[in-house]
Amino acid sequence: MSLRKIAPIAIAALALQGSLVLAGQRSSAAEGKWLHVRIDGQSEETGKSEIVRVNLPLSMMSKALPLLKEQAMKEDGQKIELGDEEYDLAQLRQLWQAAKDTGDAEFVTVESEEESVKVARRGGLFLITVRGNGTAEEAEKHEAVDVKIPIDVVDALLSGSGEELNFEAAIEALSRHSESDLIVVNDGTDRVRIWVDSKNVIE
Amino acid sequence: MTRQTRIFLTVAGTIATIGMSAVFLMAANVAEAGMAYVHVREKTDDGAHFTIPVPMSLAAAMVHMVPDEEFAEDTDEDLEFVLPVIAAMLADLADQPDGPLIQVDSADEKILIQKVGRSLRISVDDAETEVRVSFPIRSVARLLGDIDVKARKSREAGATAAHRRAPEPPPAQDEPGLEEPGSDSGLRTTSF
Repeated sequence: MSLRKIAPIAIAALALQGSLVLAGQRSSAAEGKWLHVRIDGQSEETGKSEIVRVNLPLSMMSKALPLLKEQAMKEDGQKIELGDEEYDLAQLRQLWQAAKDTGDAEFVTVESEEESVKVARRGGLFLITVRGNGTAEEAEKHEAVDVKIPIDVVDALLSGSGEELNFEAAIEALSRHSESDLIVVNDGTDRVRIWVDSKNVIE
Repeated sequence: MTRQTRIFLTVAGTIATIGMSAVFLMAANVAEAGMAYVHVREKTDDGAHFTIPVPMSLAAAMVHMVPDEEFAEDTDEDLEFVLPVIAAMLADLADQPDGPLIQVDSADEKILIQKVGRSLRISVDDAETEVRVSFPIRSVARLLGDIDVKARKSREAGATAAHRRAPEPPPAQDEPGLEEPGSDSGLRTTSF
């Protein structure tokens, strides 16, 4: 996978994650926090290493919230695009409430020839895990995706009863967590990591 | 010293003082607003190599000089939505500590966007060209804000003028097809 292919994925992930973690323009929680994206890849043509590093202050990105909202919400403001599917907030809230009531558990397990996908709640985290399996092609055997969203962040995001996601509450919730990975993707040749911390340096 | 000489020296001194003050004010304004630089170097023997310095105060003055109609024509509603967002992002960035923001290092090119002091520096390097752009963050944020305000005003003025030019709607008349049966107009009632 080349950077040209992986960059849109990372940007999409960033936008999605941004929807989760970026919030209120007045939120003081965002102060001093930085959103980081790190991509280590390899050029398919030359085999040379390719890197992308993004360090953006959350408070600055929270100013971009109107643009993120515009992309996340359809024009009528009723539906939210997640992948190829569209959900309204009421559906999402119902699903989330059911998941919360269940407690720690694996909600979804999909085993296919190429990969296994698990959606679970463990401890304080909402986890999505994708693993390439042995029957897949060589490159996909090593695929690994880990999404770790703190439960209270999702909770806060879906709080309220209106037709908009509550970004302000989500950032407040996220600010209570120490540094941790949010998304880690490893497909064998390329690695993508998205996380939030208090440092503004390129690692 | 004659009286004429004294008057001449007084007038000349006043003009010189005003002139110097204007120069100092202009210099202070340019220094406060900062300079944007665009530097391009083509990596060939006869390639172009130039640097364009742009005083941000001059850019701001030019924005104010552009006729409103131009803004109304050249900016659409999407841009009006995006401009204040970018301006707000830049204003926030101006308060952040210095450091790299985006770095791309591939076989084809290297891109580095970083905040250094009051400026945002963008550097793009590939096999053929080297481009460096630097601009004072806060001044550009202000400039975008000014453009946004001007575009909105001109659009609102255009909308008001169009509303005034619009002809008065003709007085409502009874449509023949809707006339009640049995009316004495003599027209046949048609229903669908």
